[in-house]
Amino acid sequence: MRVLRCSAARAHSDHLAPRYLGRVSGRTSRDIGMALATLLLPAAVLAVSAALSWGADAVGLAVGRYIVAAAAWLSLAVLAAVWLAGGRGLVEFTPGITTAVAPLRLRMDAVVVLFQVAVLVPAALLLTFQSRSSREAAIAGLAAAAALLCLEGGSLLWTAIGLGVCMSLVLIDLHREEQRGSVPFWGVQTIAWLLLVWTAVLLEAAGGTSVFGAIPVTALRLPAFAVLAAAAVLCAGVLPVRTWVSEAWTRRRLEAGTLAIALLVPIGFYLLVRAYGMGAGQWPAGQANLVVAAIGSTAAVGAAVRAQAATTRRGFLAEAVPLGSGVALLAVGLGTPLGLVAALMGVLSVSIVAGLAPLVPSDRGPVALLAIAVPAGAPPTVVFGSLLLSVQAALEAGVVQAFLGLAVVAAWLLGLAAAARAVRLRDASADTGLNGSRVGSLVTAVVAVAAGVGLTLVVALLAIPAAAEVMPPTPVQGQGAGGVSPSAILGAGSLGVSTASGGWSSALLAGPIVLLALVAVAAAPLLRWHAARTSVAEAPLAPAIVELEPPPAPLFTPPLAPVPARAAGWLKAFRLPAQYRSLFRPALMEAAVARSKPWLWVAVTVVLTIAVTR
Amino acid sequence: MISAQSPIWRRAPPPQLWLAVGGVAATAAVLSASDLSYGLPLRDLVRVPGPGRIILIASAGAVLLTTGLAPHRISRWQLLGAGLGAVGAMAVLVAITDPLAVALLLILVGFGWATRRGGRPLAIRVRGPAFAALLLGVGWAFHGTTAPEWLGRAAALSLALSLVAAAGLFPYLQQVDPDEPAGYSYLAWTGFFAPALALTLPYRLLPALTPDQATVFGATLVGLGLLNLGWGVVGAWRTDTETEAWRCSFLADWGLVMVGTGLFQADGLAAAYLALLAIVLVRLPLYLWARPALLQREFPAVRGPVSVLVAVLLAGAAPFSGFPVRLLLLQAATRTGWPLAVLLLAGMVLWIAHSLRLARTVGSPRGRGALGLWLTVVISLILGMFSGTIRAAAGL
Amino acid sequence: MIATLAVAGAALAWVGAATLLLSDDRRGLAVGLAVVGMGLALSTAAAGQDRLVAAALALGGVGSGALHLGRGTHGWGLMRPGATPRVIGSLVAVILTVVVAGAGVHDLAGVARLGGLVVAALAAGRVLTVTGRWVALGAGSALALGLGALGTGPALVVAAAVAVALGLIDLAGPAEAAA
Repeated sequence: MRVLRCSAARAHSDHLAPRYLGRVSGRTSRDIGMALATLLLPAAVLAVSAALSWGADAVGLAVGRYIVAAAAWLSLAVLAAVWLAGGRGLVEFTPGITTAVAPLRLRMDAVVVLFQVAVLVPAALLLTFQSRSSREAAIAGLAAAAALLCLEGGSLLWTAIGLGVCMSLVLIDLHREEQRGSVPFWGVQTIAWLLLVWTAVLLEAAGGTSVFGAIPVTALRLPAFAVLAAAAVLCAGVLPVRTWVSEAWTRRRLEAGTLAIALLVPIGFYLLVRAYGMGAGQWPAGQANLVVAAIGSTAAVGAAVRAQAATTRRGFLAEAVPLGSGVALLAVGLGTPLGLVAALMGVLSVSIVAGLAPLVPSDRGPVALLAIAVPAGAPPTVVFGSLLLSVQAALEAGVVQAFLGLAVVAAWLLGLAAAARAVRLRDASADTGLNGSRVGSLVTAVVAVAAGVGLTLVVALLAIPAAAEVMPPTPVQGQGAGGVSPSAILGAGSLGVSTASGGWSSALLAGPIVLLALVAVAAAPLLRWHAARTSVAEAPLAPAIVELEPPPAPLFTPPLAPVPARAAGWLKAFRLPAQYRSLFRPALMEAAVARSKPWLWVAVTVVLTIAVTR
Repeated sequence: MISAQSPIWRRAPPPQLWLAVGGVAATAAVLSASDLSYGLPLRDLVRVPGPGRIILIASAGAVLLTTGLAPHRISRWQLLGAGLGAVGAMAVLVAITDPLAVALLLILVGFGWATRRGGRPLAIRVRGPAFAALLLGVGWAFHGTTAPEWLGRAAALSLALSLVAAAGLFPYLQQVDPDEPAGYSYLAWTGFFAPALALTLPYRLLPALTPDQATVFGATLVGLGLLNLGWGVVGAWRTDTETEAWRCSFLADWGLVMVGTGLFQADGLAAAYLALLAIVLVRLPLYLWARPALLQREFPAVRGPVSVLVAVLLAGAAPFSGFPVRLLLLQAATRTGWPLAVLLLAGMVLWIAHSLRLARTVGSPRGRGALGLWLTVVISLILGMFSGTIRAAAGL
Repeated sequence: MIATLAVAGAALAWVGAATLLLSDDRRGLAVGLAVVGMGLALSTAAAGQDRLVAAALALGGVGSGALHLGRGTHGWGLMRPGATPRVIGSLVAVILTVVVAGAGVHDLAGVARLGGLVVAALAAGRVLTVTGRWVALGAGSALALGLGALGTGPALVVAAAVAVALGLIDLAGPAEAAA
C-alpha cells in the first residue's frame, strides 16, 4: 500500500494498506492507526454490542437494549474523538480484497463524519429511550453498524452494497415487529437500491470507475444523475406525497419504523451531497438543481399541509421529518456553497428531529410543548437555524429559487401553526400504551437548543469542512464555481452567520432567549407555590364529569388528500372487460403449454423459425 | 447431525449403492479427464471447461447437502444414489465436446431419469429432454450450412431453443405435479441438469457459429430470457399455488441466466455462471426445504428473522448470491443498451413481490432442517461475498 | 448408383419411421426400428461414412428393435382406427423436410442428413404425442438413430449405443400403466 499525500488545503489523503502501515512518507503509524480506528471502530463497537445483545437474549438476560444503547453512544464518542484527534483528513482504505465483485474500498472524510453523526445521534437516542427486547436491540445495532459502513463506502458501488445490507436488516427489524407496511417499505427501498446500483454501473460505463476519488468529472452525466437523484429521494422518502417515512408512523409500535427513518433518511441525502463531489462541486446541469430544489420545496409544503390537518399528535409528528427533509432537499438542490452548508445543517436538524419525534410524551406538559416546538423550527433550536440558512441560501441563489424559498417559508409557518394545534390533539400513542420518554425528549430538546445556540460552531466544525470536501474552494469552470469558503458564510471569529442576504449571530440571538427560558423555568415553582398558597381556600371542587375538549379543526383540508386513496381504490377495483379477460390469464396459457399435448411447443418453434428466417 | 443409525439411513439398497458409486466414478473420471486427455485417444472428445468443473462440484455439494439435511419422505439412500448418479450423468454431459453426442446422451439421460417410478408417466416426463435433443441435434447438423443463409439462422435458433427446452422454460413449460417427489419432477432438470448444459453448451457452440448465427443465438436467448424473467416474477407473485410460485421463481432465475448468456460479454457470462450456481446451491435446496409445507399446504406467517432473511436472500439483496448476478448483468446490459437494463431493473423490482411468499413456505425448520437452512444461507452469502474468487476459479 | 443407394436408404428410413409412427404394437415398432437402422446405415454408407460405423448404426436399429420385441402387446397394430392424422403427419413431415431442408442439400451427405432429419422429426413427433411407456422408449430409440445419422463417425456409434440402451430399459420390469 501506498500512502499518498493529497494537496488539499486542510486535508491529506491516506491510502492505507496493511503491508505499508507505519512506514509511510511523513505519516507515523499512530496517524494511520487513528485513521483506521476512525474508519472501523464506530461500526465495530455497534456490531460487537449486537453480538453481545444476541448472546444476552440467548441466555435469557434482558440487558441487550442497554448494551446496544451504550455502544451507540460509545460509537459516537469514538467517532468524534478519533476524528478530532486524527487530523480530520481524508482517509481511503484499500486492503486489496475483492469481495462481491468490486475491490473493498472504504473512505473517511468530513462528509462521512457529518453523516455518521447524523445517523448515530438519533440512533443512540432511540436505542436509549425506546423499549426493545434484546434480540430487537441486536438487529437494530447491526442495522446501525451497516448504515455507518454504507456511508464509509469508498465507491458508489460499495455504498450501494452497504445500503442493501442496511435495508435488509431494517426490513428484518420492521417485519419482526409488525408485518403491516413492511412490504411497501421494502419495495420502495429496493427500487432505490437497484437504482443506486445502476448509477454505479452507469458511472463505471462512462468513467471506468465509481470510486469517489477517481470518478472523472465528465462521467456524471444527466441520465446517471437522474437515476442517482431518484434513488436518493426514494431512499430519503422526500416527495410531495406521503412516503414510507410518514407511513412508518401508522404502525402500532414505533421502534423499528422510527429507527429506519433515522438510519435511511441521511443516506439518501448523502448520495446527493456526494454527487457534488463527483462533479467537482456541481451537478451535471442547472435544470437538475432546479428540479431537485422544486421537489424539496413541494415536499416541505406537502408535509406542512398534512401536518396542519393531522387528527392526532402522532399524525403531526409523522410529518416532522418530511418537513425538515423537504427544506434540506431544497437547500441541497440550490447548488451554491451556502445552500450546501444549509443542506448539511438541515440533515443534522432532521437527524435530531428523527431522534426526538418518537420520544415526545403524550401529555400537554412543558416538556411535550418543547418537544413539539423543536421539529416545527421554533427558535432558537438548530432546526430554526438550518431553516433560516436554507431560506437565505434560496433567496441568494436566483429568482426561481427565491420563490421556492418563499414556499418553504410558507411551509415553515404552516408547520409552526400545526405544532401549536398538535399540542391539543389526542395522542394515538396513548391508546397503545406508548407514552414516549420525558427524559429522552428533554435531553434531545436541550441538545437541539444547544446546537441552535452554538450553530456557528457546528457550521464551522462539521458543515463547512464537509461542504468543502465536495465543493472545493479551488475555482472550477462553469457556473456556481466559487467553492465553499468559511469566510463567505461565517463572520469574524465565527460568531455569526454573514452572507450576502444578511448576517445574524446565533449565540447573541439565542442566548437571551435561552436565558429567559431558564429564568422562567426557575421561577415556575415559585409562582406555583405562591398561587397554591393564595388560592387554597377558594379552590372549587373538581367537577365529577370532565367535558372533553374537541380537537381543534385544521386550517384547511388538504386539497388532494383523497386522490391517492381514490386512485388506489380504482386500481384495486379495476377489472378487464369480461370478453378480454381470457387473453390476460397467464394460468390458462401456462396450462395450455404445460398440460396439453405439446403442439404449442411445435407451433412456437415454427413461428420463431419463420421470424428469424425472414 | 446425520446419524448412521437413523432409520432413514439403515438400509442401502444395492441398485442405489451402485448408482451412487457409478456417479462418483464418472464424476471423478471426468474431473481428471482434462489432465489425462492428452494421454488418451479421446483427446478432442472429452474436455471439461472451467465453469463445468465448478458446477459439477457444486452439484455434488448440493446433493450431499440436500440428501443429508433436507426433509424427505423417501429413503435418503435412494436420494443419495439418484443424486450422485445424476451428478455422474451431468459429468458426462459436461465433458463431451461434440454437441451431437451431447444431444444423444440427453436422450439417454432423459429416458433414464424418467424411468424412476413415481409421479407422472415416463412418456410425459421425457418430452422435454427429447425435444431439446431434437433441437440441439438438428441445429448442430445444419449450423454449418451457408447456402441458403436462412437455414443457418434457423439452426442457430434451434440451438438456442434446445437450451430453453432442456431447462423446461417458457415456451417449453412442463407440467409440475405438486405431489410428485421433487427428484422426479421436471424441476430436477430446471434446477440440476440444465445448469450444467447451460454452462458448457454455449462455449462449445459459439466458436462454430458465424456472426449472423451468433446474433440469432444471442438475441433468442436475450428475448426468451426477458420473457421468462417477466413470466417468472409475475407468475410467482400472482399464481394460485405455492408450488407453481416456486416453479415460476426458477423461471425468473433462468431469465437472468439466459440474458447474461445471450449478451456475449464477459460480465454477462459471469452473471449467468453465478446465477446457475445459485440455482443449484441455493434455490433448489430451499425448494426442498419448502417441500413439507407445499405438500401439507400449510404456510405459517413470516415472523422470525430467519424467514425474512430467506426472503431477502431470495430477492437478491446484497450481500447474498443474487447481488453479484444483478450487478454484472446490469453492467453487461448497460453496455449493450440502456432500455435492456431498464427492463431488467423492472424485473428485479418485481422480484421482491414473490420472495416473501416463497420464504413463508420455507418457514423456520428445527433440528437438522435448521442446520441445513443456515448452511444454505451461508452458501448464498459466500456466493455473494466472494463472487470474484468464484468467478476466477472458473476462468471467467 | 451410389446416389440411388443414398436416396433409397433415406426413403427406407422414412418408411421405417412411418411404420413406427403408425404402429401401436410391438411387432410394428420392432420392424420400424430395424428398418430405420438399416435405411440410415445404407444412406450414410453411400454418403461416404466409414462402413463399419454405418454397420454399427444398422446393428443399433436391429438390436433395439429386437429388444423392443420383448414388451408391449403382440401384433402389428398398424393403422388402427384414429391413425389417419398420423398417416397425414408422416406424409407432411417428409414433404416439409424436403422443402425446408432440401435447399441445403448439395451432396450425398446432405441426402443422408435429410433421411436422418425425417426420422428424427417423425420420432420426436411420436415421443411428444404418445402416452405409453414402451412406445415412448421405441420412439426415443428412433430419435437417437435419426439424430446420429445427422453426424459423422463417433456420433453414429453413440446413437446406436443409445438406441440399444433405451431398448434395455425396463426390459424385465413391470410395465407402467399408460396415462
